[in-house]
Amino acid sequence: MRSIRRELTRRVITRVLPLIILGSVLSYVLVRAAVYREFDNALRHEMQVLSTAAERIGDGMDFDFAPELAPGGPIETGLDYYFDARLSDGSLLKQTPMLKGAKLDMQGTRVGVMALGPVVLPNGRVGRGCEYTFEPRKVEAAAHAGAVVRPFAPPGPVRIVIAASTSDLERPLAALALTELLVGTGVLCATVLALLSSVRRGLAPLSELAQEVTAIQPANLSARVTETGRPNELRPIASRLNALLARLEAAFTREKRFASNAAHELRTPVAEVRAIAEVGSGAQPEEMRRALREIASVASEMQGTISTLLTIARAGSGLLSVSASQVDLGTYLSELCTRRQAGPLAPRLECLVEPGLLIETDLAAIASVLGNLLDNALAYTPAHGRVKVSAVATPLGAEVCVRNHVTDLSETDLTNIFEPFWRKRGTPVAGSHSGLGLSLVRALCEVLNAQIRAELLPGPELALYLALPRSLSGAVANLPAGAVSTKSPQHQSAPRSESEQS
Amino acid sequence: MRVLVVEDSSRLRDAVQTGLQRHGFAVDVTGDGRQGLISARTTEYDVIILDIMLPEMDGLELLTQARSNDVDAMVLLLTARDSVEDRVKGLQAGADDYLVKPFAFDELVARVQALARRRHGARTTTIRVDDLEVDTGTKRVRRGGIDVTLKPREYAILEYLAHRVNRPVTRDELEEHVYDEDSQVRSNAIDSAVCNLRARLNVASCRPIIHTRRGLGYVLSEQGV
Repeated sequence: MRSIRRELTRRVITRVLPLIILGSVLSYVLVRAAVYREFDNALRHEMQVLSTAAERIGDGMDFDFAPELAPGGPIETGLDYYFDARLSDGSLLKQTPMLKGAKLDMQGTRVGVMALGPVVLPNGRVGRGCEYTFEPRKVEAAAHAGAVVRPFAPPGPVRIVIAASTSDLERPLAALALTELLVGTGVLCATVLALLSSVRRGLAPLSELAQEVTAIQPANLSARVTETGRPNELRPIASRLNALLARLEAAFTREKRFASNAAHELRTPVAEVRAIAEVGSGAQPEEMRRALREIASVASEMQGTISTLLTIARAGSGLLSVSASQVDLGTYLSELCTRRQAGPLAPRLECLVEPGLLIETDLAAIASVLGNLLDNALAYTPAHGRVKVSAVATPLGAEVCVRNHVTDLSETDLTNIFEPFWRKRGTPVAGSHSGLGLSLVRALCEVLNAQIRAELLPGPELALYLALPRSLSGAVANLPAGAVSTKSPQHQSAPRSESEQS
Repeated sequence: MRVLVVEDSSRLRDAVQTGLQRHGFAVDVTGDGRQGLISARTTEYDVIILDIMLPEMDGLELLTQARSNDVDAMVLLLTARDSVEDRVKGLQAGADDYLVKPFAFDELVARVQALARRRHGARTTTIRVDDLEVDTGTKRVRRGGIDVTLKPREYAILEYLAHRVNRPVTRDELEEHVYDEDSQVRSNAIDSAVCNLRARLNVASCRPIIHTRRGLGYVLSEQGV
């Protein structure tokens, strides 16, 4: 398994290690170059001093220099030092006694050019040498006092080669190299340790977040990751994670509620059938016939519930088709209200619709939607309450509003009222309702490209607004902010299925 | 034994009422939580069968309020909710038993009988008083080893008295626990039923076992203790 800490450490080390090695080598090379440069400068300086010692006096040549006695010379410095001065014909002018007539040889230079380079000393050691060919200074014989080294010397330039052993330089340089190696290794180890510590400390917030996330159990979705005190880089992750957990928890709660409600709605009729059958089995024929009629009635209701659930499922999965036809919404709503007014709830129902509200929609689906909206309102309106149905034209189609008095519905409940089987606990209801009406409305609205939203009005009243497009492919107005909508972002046209169950 | 059934499904309510009545229980029914609470507070039931999802007031709230009002009836939660969490919540709210829908009716009857026994401190289904044996499970009565056939109402009176051996039981108490709300109770119905009960029990043995205590009511005991 990949580890960020290991990966980070590995990457940093693979980048830092060559840098440290390169730095050590570079510093050694620079120091060595500086030391040799100083050494060369000393040779050059020595050469300049020596070159002044050569003087042409008449036909002769003098070389007035005793290197053994020179300040900073071999005796004083202890250097392994040589010089060799020769005339233009190669004959010896002057050299250090240790050379014993042997020639110090270098590559040769033009007149007036001083050259430096490696040289093998007569004792076999490696050293540095400086070669200089020059025209010696001419001095009048009268001005010269003392003997001349070569009374007769051929004309032409004098060539001087001086050389010194570098073994005394190599020893401190080797010590420097060893020091740099040891220090470099130490620095490298310290860097790795510091790096490991820094990476651990730097990644600690990430580790803490990982531990918190790991501690969240599937059964405890109410747990949240701490957001305060997190580094800026991790705060969005924690925030998003909490948002996801909240959504997950809400989905699980909704699923749990649905399962619980579905269990109640589907188990109760089974319990009814079983109890009626068991109690009626030993009863008199007339009572047994009544039990059978009740069982048939329960079966019919269960069939209706299953049919509605199937319709919702099909609408949700895009398996319901629609066929467009012209519907006079005003007339249809008026007739629907009239039919409902024939029942015992008639005094509570008011219907105010605009005439001539023509829309192109699926008749069966819109009939199911409107019927369910109205039945739901009538069923859940308390005694002495009122149901108001209105329909108006909008720029994009039509809007139907069904309002009814409610007793204890809250804003929070508005997010649940379209869920299958959801019913406010303890709310009285007229007649038998499975709690699927508004779920069916929502599912059919998806198919009809319509929008349904719920609002809680003063009173309190529940208002359900149904926005219908002028045609099935048309758009409806955007919902106002804060309204509870059931419109999905994408609408899918679906193939036609069986007639809906109100 | 008097039972209250609080269930919003009218069909289930009626079936349970009919079935329990056949087993000799006096059964009252109601379809909403608020009325159920009123009934539980105003009548002394032996067992309350309670649904959870009810209109007006849900079953758990009813149960909590009933317990806070010193209603000591045994409560059987009869609900479609079957999760452990729901069961725990129900039992913690004060329920004595929990039965999930759908259920076998015989199991419901057995549980109601068990709760009734618990309420009266009996551990077995058989109550013995002198030579009288009352089996509350099979509703069988024997005296001196001979089976005694009783009418449902007579059996209900005997069973109630048997649960209170040697303790006087008033006519009102008997009336409360043996008759349900729908019963038309005549003023001397209890006396008449007890008289018939005595007559049936004396066929098997001549020793009186149900005694009248003036001003106190009836006592089931060996020697009228």
